[in-house]
Amino acid sequence: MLLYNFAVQSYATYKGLFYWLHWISYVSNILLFPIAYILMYSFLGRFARNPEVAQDYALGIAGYSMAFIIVGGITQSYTRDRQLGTISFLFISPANRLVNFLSRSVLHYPNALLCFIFALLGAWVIVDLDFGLVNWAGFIAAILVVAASLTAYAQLMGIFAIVSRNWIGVLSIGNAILFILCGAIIPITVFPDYVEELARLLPMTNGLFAIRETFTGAPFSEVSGNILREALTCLGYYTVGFLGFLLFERVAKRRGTLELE
Amino acid sequence: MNRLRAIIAAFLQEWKTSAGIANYLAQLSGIVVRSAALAWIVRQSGDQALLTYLYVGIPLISIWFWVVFQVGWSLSNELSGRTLDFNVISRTPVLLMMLGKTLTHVAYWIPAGIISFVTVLLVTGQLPEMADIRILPFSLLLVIVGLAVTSLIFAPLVLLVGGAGGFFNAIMPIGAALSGFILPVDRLPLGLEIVARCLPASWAMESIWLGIEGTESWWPVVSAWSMSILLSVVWLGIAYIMCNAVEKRIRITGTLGIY
Repeated sequence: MLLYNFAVQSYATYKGLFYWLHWISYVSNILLFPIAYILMYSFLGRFARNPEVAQDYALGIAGYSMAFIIVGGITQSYTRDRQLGTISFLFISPANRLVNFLSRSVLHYPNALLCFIFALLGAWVIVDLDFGLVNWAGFIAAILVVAASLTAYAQLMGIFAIVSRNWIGVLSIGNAILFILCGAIIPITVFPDYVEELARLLPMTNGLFAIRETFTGAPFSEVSGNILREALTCLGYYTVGFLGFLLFERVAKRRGTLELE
Repeated sequence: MNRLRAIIAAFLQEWKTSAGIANYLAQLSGIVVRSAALAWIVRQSGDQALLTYLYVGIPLISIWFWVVFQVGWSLSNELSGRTLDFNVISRTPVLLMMLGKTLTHVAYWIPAGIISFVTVLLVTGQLPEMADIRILPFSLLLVIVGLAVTSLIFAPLVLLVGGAGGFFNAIMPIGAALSGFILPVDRLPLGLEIVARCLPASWAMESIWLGIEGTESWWPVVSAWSMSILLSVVWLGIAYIMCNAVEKRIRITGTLGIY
């Protein structure tokens, strides 16, 4: 029964609250967005510097494109859940809150993987990304964990989106933090030590390192620490996000302000 | 005179209904970060000509992204907000109203372009150098005009093809690349260059590149300007036809309220 509820809620929140599911938007965000960003950054990198750097940028942008679709998808679902009044039905029901919270991210996860694949395809076509040395097992493991931790981060951002009712603003700020501090383009080593440590607490930072290393053939043992840290980051964000979700419900019920602007 | 009054009224209406300062600041965070990342890439290259080019291009990317997004949705928002009704019962062409709205968004996002410019300056720590700075002002004006008329097309397009949320997320970066805001379009792969040559801003950006590198003759610059003006007129004509198509569809099918 719990599993059935989980499946129903996953489908309902995804189908009803994720407006980019329309085919035009889906193609635009999943297929074209990653390729367009590869064109912007990697192509500039190849022209301005050299092909090796373009490869680094391509992997960074591939990671960022996962962040964009996941944070965009999940934050808009939270805002719409409040704007459309559907979250009230959850709050008056005895439904398991943890199941509901986890169900909100499940169907967004594959979108991130699709974005990553299209970004790599784009990089292969545009900047001749070389797959010759890839340690596929480590590479795939790193991608799966990064997508999961980005999903957890998006869940936390979703709480800000439901509170502020402005998912576009939350998406802009949330993704700006990731883009500048996770090493997608600018290596985190150029920042002061304390900023670098802060950056390592964000999703994608450790995982992106593992993705880049395994792409050039590093064995799994060399990056397992980074992957583990990324997985712990994922757990941390899910925990904080869930606490935020419970707190929002409590405050909304106490103040009775759910429908107010 | 009445047409000018209509454009000014549309400009003021759009200005008043544009999102507030909190939203603007949230978007600025994305603009600053994107500008910093692009500036970082060019700073590492040490290529002075490219750096100067991106001093112009990066702020234009910031303006383009939000102008195309906001203009693209503005006609659709008029329809859903039921304010298009008043336009349809008046004799003012939809295109005039859209011109006013486009001007609003260009004016609204130019400060973001300036912040983007300052970000590039802070990241690179170098000043731009142009061989012939006289080319810059008119070229820049043509880029802005080209960017505005290109954005204008998307407003009726969203209604005609039934664009949905997220529609512009790929159009924004693709448009930036094809307009030559990142690199001169002759550096793009051939297939993309051919498409880019159909956009007015790409020709104006080419004249800026000529100004950076220096040119012995003014003919290449004048040719690029001419192409930019010509294409702007063509794009404006297409926008006019598309706006008329929207108006006709609404009048003939009587679907204003349920489009």
